[in-house]
Amino acid sequence: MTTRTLVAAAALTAAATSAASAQTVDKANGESGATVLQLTTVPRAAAMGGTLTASDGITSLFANPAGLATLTGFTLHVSGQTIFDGAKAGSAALGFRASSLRIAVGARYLNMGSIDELVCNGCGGQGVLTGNSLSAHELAASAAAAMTFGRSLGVGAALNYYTASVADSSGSAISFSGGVRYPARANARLSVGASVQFVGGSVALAGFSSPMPQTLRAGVEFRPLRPEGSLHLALAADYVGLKGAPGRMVGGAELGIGRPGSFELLGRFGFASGADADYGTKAVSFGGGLVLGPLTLDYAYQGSTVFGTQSRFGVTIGR
Amino acid sequence: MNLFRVLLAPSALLLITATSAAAQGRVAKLDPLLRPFRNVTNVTRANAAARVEDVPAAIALPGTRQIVLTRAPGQFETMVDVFISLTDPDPGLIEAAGGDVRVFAGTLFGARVPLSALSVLEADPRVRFVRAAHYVRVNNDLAMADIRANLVRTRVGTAFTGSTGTGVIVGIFDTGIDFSHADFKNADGTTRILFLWDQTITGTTPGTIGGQAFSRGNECTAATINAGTCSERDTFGHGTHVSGIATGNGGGSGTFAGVAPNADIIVVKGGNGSFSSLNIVEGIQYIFKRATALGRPAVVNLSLGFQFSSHDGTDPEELAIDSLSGPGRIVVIAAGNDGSNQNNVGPGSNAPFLIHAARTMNTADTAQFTVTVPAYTPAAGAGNDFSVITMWYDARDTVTITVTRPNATTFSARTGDVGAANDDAQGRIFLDNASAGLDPLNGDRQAEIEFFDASAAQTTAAGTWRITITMNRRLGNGRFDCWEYASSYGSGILLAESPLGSGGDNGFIVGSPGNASRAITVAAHATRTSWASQGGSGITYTVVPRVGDLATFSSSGPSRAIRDNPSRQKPDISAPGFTIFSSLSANTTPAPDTRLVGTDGTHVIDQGTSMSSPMVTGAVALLLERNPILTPEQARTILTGAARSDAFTGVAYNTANGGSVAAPLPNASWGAGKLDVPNALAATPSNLLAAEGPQDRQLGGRFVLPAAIIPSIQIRVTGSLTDALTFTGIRLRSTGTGNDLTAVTGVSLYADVDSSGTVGVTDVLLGTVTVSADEGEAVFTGLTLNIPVNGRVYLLGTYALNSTPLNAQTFQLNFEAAANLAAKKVSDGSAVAFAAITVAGSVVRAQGVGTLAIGLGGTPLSGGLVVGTRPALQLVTTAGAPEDVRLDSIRVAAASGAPLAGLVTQLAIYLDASGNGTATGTPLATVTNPFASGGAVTLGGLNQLIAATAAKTFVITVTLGNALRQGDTLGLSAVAGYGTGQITLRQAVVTAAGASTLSAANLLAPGEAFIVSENPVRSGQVIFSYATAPVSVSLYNFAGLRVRRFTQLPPDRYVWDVRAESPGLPNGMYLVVIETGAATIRQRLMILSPR
Repeated sequence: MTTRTLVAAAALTAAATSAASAQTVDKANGESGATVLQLTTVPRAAAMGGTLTASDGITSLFANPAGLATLTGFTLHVSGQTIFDGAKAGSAALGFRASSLRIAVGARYLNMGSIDELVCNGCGGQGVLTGNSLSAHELAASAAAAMTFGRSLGVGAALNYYTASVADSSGSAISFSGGVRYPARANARLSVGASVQFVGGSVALAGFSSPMPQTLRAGVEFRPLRPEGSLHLALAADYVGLKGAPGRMVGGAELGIGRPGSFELLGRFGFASGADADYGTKAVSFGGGLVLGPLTLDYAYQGSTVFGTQSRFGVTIGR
Repeated sequence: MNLFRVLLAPSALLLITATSAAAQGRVAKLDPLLRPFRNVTNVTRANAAARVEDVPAAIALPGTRQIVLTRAPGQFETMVDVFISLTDPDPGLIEAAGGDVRVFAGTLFGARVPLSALSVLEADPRVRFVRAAHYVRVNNDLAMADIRANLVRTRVGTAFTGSTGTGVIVGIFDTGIDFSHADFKNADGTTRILFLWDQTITGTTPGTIGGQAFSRGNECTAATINAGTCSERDTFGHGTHVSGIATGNGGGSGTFAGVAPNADIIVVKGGNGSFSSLNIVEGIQYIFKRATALGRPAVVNLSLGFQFSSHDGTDPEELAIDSLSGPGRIVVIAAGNDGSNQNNVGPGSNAPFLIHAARTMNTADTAQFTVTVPAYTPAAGAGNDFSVITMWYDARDTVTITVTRPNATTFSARTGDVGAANDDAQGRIFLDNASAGLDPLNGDRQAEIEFFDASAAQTTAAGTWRITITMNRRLGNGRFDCWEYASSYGSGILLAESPLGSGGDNGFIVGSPGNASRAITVAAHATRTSWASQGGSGITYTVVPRVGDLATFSSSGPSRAIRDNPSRQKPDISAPGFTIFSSLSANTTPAPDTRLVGTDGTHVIDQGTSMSSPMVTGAVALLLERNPILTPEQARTILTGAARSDAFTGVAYNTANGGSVAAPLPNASWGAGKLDVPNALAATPSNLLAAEGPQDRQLGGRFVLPAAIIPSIQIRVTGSLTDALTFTGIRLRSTGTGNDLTAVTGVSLYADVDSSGTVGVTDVLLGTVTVSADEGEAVFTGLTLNIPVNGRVYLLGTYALNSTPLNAQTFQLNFEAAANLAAKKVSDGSAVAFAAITVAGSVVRAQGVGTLAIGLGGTPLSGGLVVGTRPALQLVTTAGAPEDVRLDSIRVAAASGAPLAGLVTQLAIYLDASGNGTATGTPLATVTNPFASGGAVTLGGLNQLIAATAAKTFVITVTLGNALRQGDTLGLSAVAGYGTGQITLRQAVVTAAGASTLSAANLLAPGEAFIVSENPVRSGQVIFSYATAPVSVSLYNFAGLRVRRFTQLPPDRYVWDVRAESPGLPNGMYLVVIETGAATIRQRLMILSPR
């Protein structure tokens, strides 16, 4: 502490009062709270640039609950990732079929690490360490249901609970998500989907309230090859509009080799707009997967100018 | 329980006529020292003596040496100086008897009268008494003459020479001391008391001495006493009196000087008449610790004791004393005042005062003894009219104890019975017959017998109480010992009213801790029964022992035998303890009757083994003066072997009913006999070697070379009592660190004529030799230094050193064995042997004058705070004038807000010959993980000689580890390795640390430094500070969304008003990304700003 103090004092010796105003990015950026809900935690989606809106399966809980309508039975998904210097995130989801209704619950967790508390030392520019370590955590949980309307329209809805703990402050909020997907069938040649996430609610931390990250999603997924063949290809694209952030176009491709449903080796590639500008991630991402019967292992690699390399791992059991 | 009856008994022995006329008996009119001249034959022999000095020998009564005899020129009649008290203020009858009256004080007259007139005066009814006047001179007190201490010393002016206890510490645990008394002052008025620890008050505690904490009481030092700030007062007076006997110097007059008038004194005040035995042991420890710290021998006096004891030396206090005793550490203890020598000369009778009973029985035998409770007026309340008896017996035996009241009701307890009480109208009886098993200290059984008033309706009945012991089964020695250790009926005078009656005896009553095996225990005998006082006559004794006989109160031994072991001899020796003049505490409250105060007004009489004990204490001091490493056993052997016997010492007084019995020495009352100081000194090795002055002389400051003369050792050689000696040689051992030929040019030996311990103009150089090897010997032979009879010489060994000693190197001259000293008798040239002793000389430590300053170089830092890089710190060291300095080490201390362990993985120091701050070549020293266990590390082994006023430049490189985090800072400070002998001077050493501190260095390179004012941002505003403005500062949330980006930042700092500039930014954790152009730095920033 002495070291810091003295250095700062030296630095301030020649300091002039801050006069010039600094340029900033759009001041609306980041006005939404609940960072964990803005993360793409699903490895397959991350490897494909973040596309998930028109996808099927349990992980669609985190982007478009209508995708859950394709669940055929019990399905479990767990994933985790490192972010930066002790920060990490993860997600888990569980779904099953109950008659014509598909039910899923899921959670996302974000540990943002900790800081050494620094208090203003006369506000001369140099703080003084107190010796305390302060941390920040977020947790979101969702409960969703989906079903098929008519012959092919999948419709889903989710109730979301969010809680955050930042230093000695904490807050929580409840929000709603809903979406549609057509057709309500897995591995369809062409699928489209749309969703609205986290509508309603705001979270207050240390006396300041922020809205939930309302997100509008629209996506398409195209499979030009026969699903039952030994080679399959999926192309996907999403538009993601997050309140308080520039809209993003993301897209990706997945190429699979093997026998669908029993053994399959998957390669994925993705891109995202806004990289290295409004977003601290690299434009390109890639990953892979391995299907062994009901078990699917996923990995995604994503570069970042902010966080450095990020790796995501995921395990899915069931369909 | 009367724990310290010794202190109370002397007072009980004196009866003051004004307050206790009934107890006053017939007054002995003629001074005992004058009584021999009742006999006409003795008068004739005295007058026939050729010189008046021959009179004592002519009548064979050494006591007459103490009276003032004169003979006028041309006359044959021998005259004696006396004080005479008359019933009328008319001295005519004195003149009529041939006297020359010179003093007139009311009815008291001072006169010089013929010896032949003494019997006439005694017979005259107008004469109250005739008392001899005494010589006012060194060694004039009767007690000193009795122990013959006056023969081993000489008074010159106001000082004593000879055997006086010089260099020895006499410790007194007692009621304190009147330190203002002249007896305890040096000729210059300063105190002789080194330390005075008053355990009864709070104040400045002694602190830790020799590793032991003394954390209570108040300690006065010689300095505080001399300054008049010591608050201790001896209001009881006992401690002052005792101290004066052992060590008093007579206050300049020498009249009542103690045995060791030149000894140093340490006093522990443990109370005002009663003490905790714990305090006693602690006090002894304190004195011995102090003595050890001073390098002195010490003897401690304990004029105290108690009877609640096993009397076998196994009391805890006694065992502690045994443990503390050792070479040069001796404890002397009073035997106690519970005896009852009935062989007195009146005027009253000395009723036997028996407190001990013992028998040896076979199975089924019984034994009885009684306690007679006198008629008395019960004291108010319960439990204060009582007799309490402790009983000890062989662990192998089982007994039944039965107490029978005067009304014949009884209560019994068998061995092992639970302690229980039995009530009756005549009092309660409590018996505990070894209910708890064997005593852990001696393995025997102890029983407690008590009878007392349980209530006002149950007072202890007057009459005969009978204690019956039945031997149920004898498997051991069959013996029991009982002591009535306390009793009180009505008046509250403990142990004075109900001694044992039938069946008791007068032995085995040496009080505890006097039975300690290693202690020297002292009985008392009488040397005076009348005295001249400030207040005149009017006080006498109810019981007067014969002068020379065992004091009426002196406790007899021996110690109790433990099972099949024999008793041990206790007491060990006897010394004067009856009517002893010694120092009077001016603070005695109430003030003593002036009739007890000597004519000088500063000395007072008292009696008891409390007084005889310090006689022996002083004598032991004289022995320790000659041989400071005497063990208690050696001292006892010397004292008892040299003890004097006479017609009195062949009678012991430990029999039943207080009678006497002929007993050869050693016996249970006298021990080995009467203390004889010159005999004891003669029995001590005739020539001793002793250390003088501080053992570890700290010279302080520095010494300048060359031509430095460094005193290292001072030795006092004590000569023979009988022969003049010629000191011919000595061999000293040269030791220490760095004691090599290049440093030491010689060892010189001086006759330290002024005994100052330093080389002065009066000292005589006896020789100089070169030490031929490291750890070598300096041998001096062919010397011709004279040591007169009973004289002493001081030798001083010094080092002569050249210019090469290294800083903190030590030098020491030691005298290692008596065989290394040579002397011969002047008379016949025969060699004399010296006692075995070693003397450790002072440790001389090289300490120089050079200085070394360390400052930052022109390139204090380079490189950035980046993992794996090596920022460097440039230091410039400059030696001061006039000496060169060798820099052996630099101590580097680090400070950081981050944990140091792992932050720095290596420190290396290079000689920066070019001065450009670049580390080149081989490092002088390298330390890996320097701060793994602390914030400082020493880079040693530099061995860089820096010339006076010159400079050398060094670079310390810092290798940073993976634990480094953005925002971490690191400060390094460097000081030379002072104080650890690391800096070497051409002459000696560095005196003060020169240091340079690199304070709070942020090892970020310029432009990389980025500091925030607070985190979390709670104030709504945060200041970014930087040395050079970054290209940009961005804020990202943890989803990767950049929420703010600041560019074109102002110099030095940017103030971001979060809520004004970004009203919608959520609270939470963000990542700040600083783009310097060359690097990207990231750190977390938490925002918790309210609206």
